[in-house]
Amino acid sequence: MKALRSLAPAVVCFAGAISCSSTCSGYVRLTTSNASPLIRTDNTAIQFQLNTSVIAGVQSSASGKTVTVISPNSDPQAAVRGALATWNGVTTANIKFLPLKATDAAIDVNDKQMTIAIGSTASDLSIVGGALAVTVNFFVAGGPTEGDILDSDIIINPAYAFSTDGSTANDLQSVMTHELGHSLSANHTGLLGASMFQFNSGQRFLTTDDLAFVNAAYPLASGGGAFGTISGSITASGAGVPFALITATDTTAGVTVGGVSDHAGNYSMKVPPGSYQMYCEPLNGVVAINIYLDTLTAAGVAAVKFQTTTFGPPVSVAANATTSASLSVTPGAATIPTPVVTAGPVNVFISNGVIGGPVTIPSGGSYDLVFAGQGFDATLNDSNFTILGQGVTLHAGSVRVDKTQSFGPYNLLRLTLDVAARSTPELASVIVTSGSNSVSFSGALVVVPPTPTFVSKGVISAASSLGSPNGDGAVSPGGIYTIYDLPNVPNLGPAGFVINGPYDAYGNLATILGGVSVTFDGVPAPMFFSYGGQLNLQVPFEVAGKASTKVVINYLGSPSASVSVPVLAVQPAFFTSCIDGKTLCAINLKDHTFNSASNPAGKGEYVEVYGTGVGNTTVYTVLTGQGAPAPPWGYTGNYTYSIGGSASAAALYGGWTPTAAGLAQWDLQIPATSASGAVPISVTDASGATSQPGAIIFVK
Amino acid sequence: MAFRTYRWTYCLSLSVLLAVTAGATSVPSLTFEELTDQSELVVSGQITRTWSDWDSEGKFIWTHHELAVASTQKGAAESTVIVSEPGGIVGDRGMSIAGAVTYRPGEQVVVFLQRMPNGYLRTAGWGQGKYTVDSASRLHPGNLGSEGSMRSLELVPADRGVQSTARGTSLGSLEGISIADLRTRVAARVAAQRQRSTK
Repeated sequence: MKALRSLAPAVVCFAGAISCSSTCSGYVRLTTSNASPLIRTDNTAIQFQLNTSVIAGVQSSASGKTVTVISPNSDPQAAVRGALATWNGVTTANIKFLPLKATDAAIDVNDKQMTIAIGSTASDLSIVGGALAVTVNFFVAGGPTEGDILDSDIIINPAYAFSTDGSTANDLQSVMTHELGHSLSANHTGLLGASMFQFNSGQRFLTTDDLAFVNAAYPLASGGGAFGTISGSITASGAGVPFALITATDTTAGVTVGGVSDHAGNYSMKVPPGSYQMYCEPLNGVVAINIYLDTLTAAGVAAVKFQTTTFGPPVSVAANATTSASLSVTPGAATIPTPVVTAGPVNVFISNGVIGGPVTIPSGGSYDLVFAGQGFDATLNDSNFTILGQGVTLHAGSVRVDKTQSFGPYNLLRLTLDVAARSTPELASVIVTSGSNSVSFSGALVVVPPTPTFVSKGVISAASSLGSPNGDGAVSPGGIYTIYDLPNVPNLGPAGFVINGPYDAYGNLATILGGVSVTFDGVPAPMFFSYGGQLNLQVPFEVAGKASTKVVINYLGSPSASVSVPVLAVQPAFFTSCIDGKTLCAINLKDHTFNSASNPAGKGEYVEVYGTGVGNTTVYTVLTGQGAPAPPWGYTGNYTYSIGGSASAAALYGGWTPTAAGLAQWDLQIPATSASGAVPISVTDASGATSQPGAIIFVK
Repeated sequence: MAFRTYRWTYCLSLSVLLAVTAGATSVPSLTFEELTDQSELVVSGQITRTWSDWDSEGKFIWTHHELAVASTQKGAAESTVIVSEPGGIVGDRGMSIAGAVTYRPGEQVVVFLQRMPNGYLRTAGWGQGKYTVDSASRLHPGNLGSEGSMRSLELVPADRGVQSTARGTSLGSLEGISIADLRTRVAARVAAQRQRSTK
């Protein structure tokens, strides 16, 4: 359940006799009442299906009040597909979600169909309680296959408003990412910024803590990506400390993994090989006990009267090996109240924050981390703060009080972090020590890749490399467009090209590729490829009729500023040879061979030339991200054309290419009056919009 | 959460923060007042037995906990109350939901119970309504976190003066109080609500 990211604890043990008899480990697993971990046996072919009622604009009164559960401009299918793609992107674990299917089936935990639906019955609502969503795992109890998951259904709470465009507080894709983790048997984690933390912070990506879970639960058959183990005990005055939250950070590799000791104070954590700085904290600080409440009931209460305590020197872990690391904690209950935490540009006014975190920090620059609360005042300086994270350092001498802002009776305490650029998100932690007291913010800093930056002029036709006639960028509905980075600032996506896969079971192109998603007025764009210096995508048809559209690029949780880009009704453009930028991609229909200097088309023969930008047609419906349907019989698109200086003539067809997304074609007859050789070609639509100048085709 | 803008520099920070905190949600962390208001019953007692069964629709497995009521802080409770939580094992099949609350026979507890649409009484706030009671009759809440955890909070210019930020009493403040003290606090809250509703 992410419920609000709701609440609570974890594990499972129902029916009374609960015991967490086995040693608890990191990234806590869901277990049966016999402490057997839940596990999927269909881990390489997990088939989820989305109820057909989960659509944009859907309303529900099931909760007693009418709620627009999915905002009108959202794409819930894309959100679920994006969440599936996020888990499928884990290359170091043996899991695979199959392409999402549609279903009319309702929630039924015993039908062996993994269904995602909006809660509709009293039973559904009673299960989901006040959570945003819950995942109900149905499993084998007892016997040799105990813990095998038979069914996982995800119930969306109809009392809340979800969106995929940021128009509501609850991001559907991030919630689905969290819930799918439960379907894999992940319990809630104690690291604030991890996807599997119980409160929803809206992030759509996985952190190393989430990856550690799935890697350990579903290791690769090849043995690749093997983990090592850290195990030991947490004690206070010789007695085991039950349910202490343990955090291990490899600041070189950028790995942060959390875990919890068992009722006897023992722990065992699987982590990637590396060198780990470790500390533990009580579960009554920033991370509340209720996250693991049901575990605690098995054996009394957690020990909470101790300070955040570090293990000492880093602990080295090798693959397939176990390293021992035990700790005697510093006794005494921490008395530092959990403050408000937030972050923002250096010395810039900050509007709001959250108690305890997490906060997102773009990498590749300096950023202020800000606290407000009792004890966070001028008595603190650099020596009171420990930052644990790859490439995240406290700027020397930067701890300072900001008297220009306050939260309640408290001024803000700012400190500046210098954050090295990184291409993957990672967690960092902060330990604050004041006198004999300490408080830790484990995984509270979500460090994301640098903020993507681009300008309107960088948004141009992927075919003609042209924007609007006035020199600005431009887009047209349904067309294939390119977004370029600022010169020499390749921060739009991953360092290498990521090419799109096939259409999914819905016939849609993915809208998240290589961690990149692009929205136009909140509508996600189907992606063709992602790369830090260039993105290629299909502009959603939903921009039709607008003068401009707001474009936002989100790379692994780091959103760009919203950039306004002009919208053209149509922008016909030919795809041309990459070699000269002029020669068309054209087919001689006589023998279905490529048109070229050595294979010109004869006068009177027909050619088919390819491009994009024919805009939204009102004659028939073409959907964003899907292969275009065949046009109605007799539809021509009303294009005229000229080849080799010929007079304008009507094209046989000018419009979207059936079965392709974003691709257009023009079917033309080479005029008898055309010149021969490499001759100019142009097409013009009824409004007068013309293809790019300089394009050529070869005529005998 | 209403945002305010102050000059253009503030607008800049606003856009950044929206991106940072837009997903933060609010329900999970309840104040004492919210917890009390949401609860149909607040009772103390001992869990005497536990069993699991399918709900009346045969749709989900629930685990039911019989609570022998020792005292009632809110509502009208019988001598026993059935506390129901989702999940459990029936025969060779089990159902689990991360975050569900569990009880065990013999546990001494104070529970805030909310009526679910299916008629069951469930622990309010996914565990925030469960308190263990020690041998000295003092409460130990499951959630000791600060009030409003994860809730988006507004920061203001200092020249606007001290802002009232408390929306209620932190559940953490219940740590170590006696059942008698809790009864007093709950009664005061119920009376305050009653007074407000009659105005």
